[in-house]
Amino acid sequence: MTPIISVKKLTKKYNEEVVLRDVNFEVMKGEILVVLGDSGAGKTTLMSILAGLDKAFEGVVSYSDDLFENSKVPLPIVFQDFDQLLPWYSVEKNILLPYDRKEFTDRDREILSFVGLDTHLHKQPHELSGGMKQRTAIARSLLSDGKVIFMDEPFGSLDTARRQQLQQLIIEINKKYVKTIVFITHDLEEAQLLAHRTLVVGTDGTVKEV
Amino acid sequence: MVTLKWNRLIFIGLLLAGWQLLFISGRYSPALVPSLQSIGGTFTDECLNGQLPKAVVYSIVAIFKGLLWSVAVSGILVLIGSATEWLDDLVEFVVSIAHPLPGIAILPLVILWFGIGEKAVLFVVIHSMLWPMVVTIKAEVKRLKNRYQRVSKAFNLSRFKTVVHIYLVGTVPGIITGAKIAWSRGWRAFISAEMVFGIVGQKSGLGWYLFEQRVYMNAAGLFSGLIAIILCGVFIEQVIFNRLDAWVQLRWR
Repeated sequence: MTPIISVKKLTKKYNEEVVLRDVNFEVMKGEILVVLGDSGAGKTTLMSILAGLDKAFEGVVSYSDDLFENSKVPLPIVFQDFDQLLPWYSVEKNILLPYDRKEFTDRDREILSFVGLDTHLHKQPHELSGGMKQRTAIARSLLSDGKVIFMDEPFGSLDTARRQQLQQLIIEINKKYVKTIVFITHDLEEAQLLAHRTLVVGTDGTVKEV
Repeated sequence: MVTLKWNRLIFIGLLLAGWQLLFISGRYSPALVPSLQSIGGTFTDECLNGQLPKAVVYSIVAIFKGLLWSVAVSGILVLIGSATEWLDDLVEFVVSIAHPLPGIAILPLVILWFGIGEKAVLFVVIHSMLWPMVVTIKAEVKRLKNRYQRVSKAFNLSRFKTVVHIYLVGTVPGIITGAKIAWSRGWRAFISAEMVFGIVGQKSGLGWYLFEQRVYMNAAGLFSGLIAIILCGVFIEQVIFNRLDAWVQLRWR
């Protein structure tokens, strides 16, 4: 497999506190890479750095050139909290907002149908269940022509049944659309179910593959 | 909606009965405590001859003119403040100076600058409305920034899209809340400006109406003016703002 993101000697500090210490790994094309760790271990910090939201760190994070080809949103994220959607816009407008088109293309519609959103497009976010909100966030990321999607504990606030459905959806998305998925979780079972590879973030800021 | 509950109806009934008893007792001159019939009669006459409706319409139009200006200017100030931290601090500083200053306190100065007339009243009304609007809108923008900054960055939203689709549209509930606070401040300033300083242009509002009734020692006329002010207040607050607020809360939260 080809690496699409390389992390070398990454260290992140908040003031004097070291959150991530000398981290080295690669994200391979087409894999589901799960980043596992306790709450507060630095998983979200690591994801923010990988997704380009946080640029204040030591070390090198490099991306393969094709990651940014033909993509308006190369590094989309599905967040844990439901308020990642704009409550004043419909599901349709929330999904289309980052992109330069006003209507869905045939490919978009196929994705929406696959995610199970095609009959909810005109609803407002407050009319959706937690699971449907996360499906909306996933669809918004999937519409990007990017090769990778980051997911920051996206199912942390869902009940077991909905979580299992969406975990299955992630596996299918990875296979069908050949998307690399970097998935953050603190749930060992979730990691075991989804991961092709697992990285564990320790409380001392080190990251090890298990 | 204005809902008249039994306790409120009983209170109004007792108030009116007490007033009428005070009048019947003859302890005070009817010039000071007019009968309910006299107040009701004057109110009806003033409505039918157009005096009160004209004053009401003029007052409400003036307030909404002030409100539009306040929304526009506060939008500009918040936009300026959001450009850099230095400017934000400056806007904050200006707000902290101007916000506690009552409109009526600056009126003598405004009369010197603009003379007596509509411009002076509008200036005082805008001053009274502007600062609470700025405070509310700034707080709303800060909340939106905390909430959606990560999404905006993760999805590469342009500055234009972020400002329009997140900050501008997202601030609507803040604008409504700000307008709700601001209008009552502006309303009080408007009535006071017309009444205390007797400043009016070619047309006049409810403050001037009260001023005239006081000059003519017409207590029933004064009560008619007060009733009109109360009814306008209840209508704007309960019917317009509360409905808008409920609609916005449902759609925006």
